[in-house]
Amino acid sequence: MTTNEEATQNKTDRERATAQRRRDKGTRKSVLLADRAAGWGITAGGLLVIFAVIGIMVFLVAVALPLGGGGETLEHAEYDLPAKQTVWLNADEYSTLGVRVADDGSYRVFHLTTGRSVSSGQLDFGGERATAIGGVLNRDRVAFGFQDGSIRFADLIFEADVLLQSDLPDGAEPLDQRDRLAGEAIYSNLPGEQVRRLRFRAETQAPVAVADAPIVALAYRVGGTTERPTRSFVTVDAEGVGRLSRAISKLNIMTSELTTEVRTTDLPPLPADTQVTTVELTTLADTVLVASDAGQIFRFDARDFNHPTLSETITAFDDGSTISAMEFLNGEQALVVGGSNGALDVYFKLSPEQGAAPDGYKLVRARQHEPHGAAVTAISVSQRSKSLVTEAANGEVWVRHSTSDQVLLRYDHGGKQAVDSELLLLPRVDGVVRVASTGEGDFWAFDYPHPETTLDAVFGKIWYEGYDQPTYTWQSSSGTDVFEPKYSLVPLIFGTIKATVYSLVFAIPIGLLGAIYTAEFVHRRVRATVKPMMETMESMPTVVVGFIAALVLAPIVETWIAAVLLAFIALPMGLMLAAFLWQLLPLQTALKLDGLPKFFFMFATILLSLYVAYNLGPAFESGFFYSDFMAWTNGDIGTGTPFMFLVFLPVGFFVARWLVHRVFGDRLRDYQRGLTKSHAGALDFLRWAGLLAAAVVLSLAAASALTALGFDPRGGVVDTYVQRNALVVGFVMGFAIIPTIYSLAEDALSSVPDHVRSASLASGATPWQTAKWVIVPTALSGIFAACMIGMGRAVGETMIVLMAAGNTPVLDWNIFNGLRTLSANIAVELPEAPQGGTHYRMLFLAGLTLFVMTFTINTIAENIRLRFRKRAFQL
Amino acid sequence: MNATAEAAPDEAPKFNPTAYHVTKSDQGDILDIRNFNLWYDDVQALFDITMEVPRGLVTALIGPSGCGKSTLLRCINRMNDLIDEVRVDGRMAVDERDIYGKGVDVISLRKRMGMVFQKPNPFAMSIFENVVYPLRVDGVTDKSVLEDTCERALRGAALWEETKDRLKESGLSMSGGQQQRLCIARAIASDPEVLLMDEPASALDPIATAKIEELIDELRGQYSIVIVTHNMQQAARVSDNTAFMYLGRLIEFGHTETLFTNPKLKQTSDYISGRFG
Repeated sequence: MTTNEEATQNKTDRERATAQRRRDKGTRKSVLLADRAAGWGITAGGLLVIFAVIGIMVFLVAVALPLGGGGETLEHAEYDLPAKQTVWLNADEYSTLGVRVADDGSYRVFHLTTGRSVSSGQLDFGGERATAIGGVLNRDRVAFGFQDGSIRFADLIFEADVLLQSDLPDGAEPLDQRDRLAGEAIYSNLPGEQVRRLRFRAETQAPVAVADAPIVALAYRVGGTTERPTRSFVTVDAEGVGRLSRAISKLNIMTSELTTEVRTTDLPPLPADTQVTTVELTTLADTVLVASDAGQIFRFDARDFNHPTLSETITAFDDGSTISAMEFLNGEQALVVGGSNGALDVYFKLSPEQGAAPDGYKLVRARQHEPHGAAVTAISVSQRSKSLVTEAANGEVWVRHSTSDQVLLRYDHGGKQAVDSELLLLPRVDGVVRVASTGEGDFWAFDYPHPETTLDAVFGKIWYEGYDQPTYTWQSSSGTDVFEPKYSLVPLIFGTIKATVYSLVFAIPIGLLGAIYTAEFVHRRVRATVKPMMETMESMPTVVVGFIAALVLAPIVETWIAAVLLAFIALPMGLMLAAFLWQLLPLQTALKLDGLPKFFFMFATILLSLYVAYNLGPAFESGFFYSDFMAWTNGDIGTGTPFMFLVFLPVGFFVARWLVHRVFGDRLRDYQRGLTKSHAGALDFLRWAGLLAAAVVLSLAAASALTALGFDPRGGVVDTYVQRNALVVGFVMGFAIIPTIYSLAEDALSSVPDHVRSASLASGATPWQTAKWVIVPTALSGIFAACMIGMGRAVGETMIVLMAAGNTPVLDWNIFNGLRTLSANIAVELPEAPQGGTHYRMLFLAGLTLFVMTFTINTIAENIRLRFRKRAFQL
Repeated sequence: MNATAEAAPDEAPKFNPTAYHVTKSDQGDILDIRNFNLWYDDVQALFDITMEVPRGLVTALIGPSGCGKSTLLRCINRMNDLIDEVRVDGRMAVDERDIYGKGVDVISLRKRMGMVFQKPNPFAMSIFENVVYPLRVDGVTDKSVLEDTCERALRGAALWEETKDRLKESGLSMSGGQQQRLCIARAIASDPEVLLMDEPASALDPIATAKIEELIDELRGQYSIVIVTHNMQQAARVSDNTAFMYLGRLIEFGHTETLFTNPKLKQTSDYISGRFG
């Protein structure tokens, strides 16, 4: 075969193969495979995104859910102690041991969960029986009152020390999984081969004679320092005489001798026939509260120790029930009063503007908790929180939380009637001990991790201690245990909305007008430069922006506030003036200068307007705000007229324009048509100046009229000036979201098909008319989406508000006041919130709320956007 | 394209427009184009166009794709200004007024011309607002004037009967053919001196096309119409005069029937007989 023939042969083979391929229209396997793989890959990626979002949501919900999760009773033990009149109970910090003190001074220490007796002993009562008892909140320092009018102090102390496992004495008897009994001590297992030894020790001091008659009520508080305690106590004897005493111990440095000096002062006499049931005293010994069986509470002002006065007498219950139990809540700001009708009310000592007692205070019933079915017989308050436990005559034992106004757990004690029993809420609020005089002991161990939070407490108004009225307040932490945490998310949600609104008010007009300008008016090359620049602005770290806002802008705005406000007027006025002046130019000149010179002219106008505002600022301040803007915002000087005048100015302008149009109709315009461009421009300018004058007159009239009617904007959107305020946040967060809005809106505008733009321009429309009537309405869905995404960014923005907003969680629309947003709150407080605690979970709930807010905004936005889009769909 | 066409620009014989028989209108000429050139950046798209468009008649511009007929049309109302880097020289005048002269107000120039585009492009507004848009732009707010104009324009576009009961509905809710007639109504609403049509029927089905052609026939006499078309039969059916353009040059311009039956130049006859294009 020749080469030529081979070639021909090859050629025919190739042709045959090609023909074969052509006949065979099937797709190649690799193509199908790649297609399928791509399909699977994209589906998997999309699903992963959805799962990630759902996962975040589920995680937030999972962390926040226990806030409303309630609690559970872990254990209930019943045991018998010797039948004696119980007067006092105490328990150790670790919920291991309890001590019951009887009226004869005998005490018994018992293991809480088993009731097993650990030790017992006798306080030195000199053979007397205690007739009254008072103790400090920690329950380890107690005072007993006696028939002979004397009192004795006692300390009931649990001693805990940690030992090595090897130090455990032999033959220790196991009581439960944790505890072992050896001698008069309990050994509790600790992690790491250690044990905790717990022992009880009691000390009684010598009697102090206070009264001549038997003591019926006693309150005891210890203040001062540990080295030099100030012990204060109030006694009321059978003759109805109240005495306030103060024992100051002094340590002689030379002899190390402790001397105690007791000073006593008589309280003003109570009305005759007053049967005193309970008496309460504050740690500072400045207030004494005496409850009578007639249902009255007498409040004595003891700030002047030598001359206590009766400040106020109130009747606790409207139906005349007697007060059967009374106790201060932890912190001594709130007084819990239980009535014979089962009611449980909480009183605050407030200083109202009206109706106060002569000393300036007043007891106000702030909370009414769920009443028991029978008389309240005992109240025991928590040493660390606002929890308390109450017992009623019908045997109900309810664990409650005062702030959130809820009954956490209800025990009914098997329907048995309560017989003169004592009640104790354990220090860690994880159990309740109740010992009746019959010797019946009950112990309930429970776990209620987040009693402070209910839906009402988080989103509703709560009357907190020391407040004049129910409020929405966020105040999550402080230094002491007596603090009442306030977990209302409302101020934070409000702060988020406020920051968003003010920044959008600033950002939307600028962002949208900028987008319209670049999409419709400038040369493509300018647009190609401006747009990437704006997008670069978007990538600026917000922490830098916030930093500049807080440390540079906020002080500048504060110093030049009048000039800043004036700039809001000077800028639009300057630009409008410049536009009208431009119209005066002859057509030829105007066309010649249309490109870059016009741009620079606009730029110069802006700079000039700012310069004018800067220079006229002080004059503006003295002319409009009585020379002192800060004092004016406080409401110290002047009226609201100047401010309202400024606000009404644009409104007045539009009203004047409408009126002129009503009167003249199109005549002015028709007349203008016959003029040259410059003349028409001059006429336009005159018309504008006239409208402006009319607007000034109209808005001045409206502002004066409103002032005459007594309306003052101060106290609303303007009020006391704070350096870190919503105005600064509006500026800076606006600055941060302008690029977002600008970029997306610009995309929407320039994606309007060119043939629509051409149709309008070919109809003789100007670029502005085209933008206004055709392009913007067509791109409305995209523009709306741009605003919404900008809004979403503002809602979630953290660093700027964190640094520039002052972080004050207040409910106040005042543009000159600060705010705290949900996001900034999380950033500020998460580092200080212990993991798993109420505060920690509340912050996650704040995050969830934020999530829900943005989710809702986006869903609504998307729906509206789709509706808009339907209109422009067929283009 | 075949070899003949590729060689054409250089070899194209210069022609003297006066040598052709253009159907003249008794009202004179509306457009006067003399030695008109246009460049996109460095690329010249129109070469030395000279033609006179008679008033009140239909003038068709035909030629293969990319021959510059749409560009020429868009020069008449300066829609090419929207494209950057366009440069022109030569003279173009409407009604003795220079279009590209110094100090020409483009906006008012466009108000004197109506334009219909290849693709129906009604606005996302009601039918009524679509039609009266040129008047709105001009600042007319008198309701009776707007309503009269709307009815006149819709009647002029043979759309009145179909739309008189649904003027409030969106212009986008109509069929493609109706939309195009709506655009014609919009174009004639401002009573323009010239009606420019850029392949008005190319996106439509045959029935809608027939209606548009009928409409053009009805508008003859009232408006001076310049229509760009790809479709030679259409040009033959609707126009009084036809200009054949090729590679940016005006090859032949004359009475439509003459041009189609007895073209003077070979290129024209090649195109018309379908040898290229």
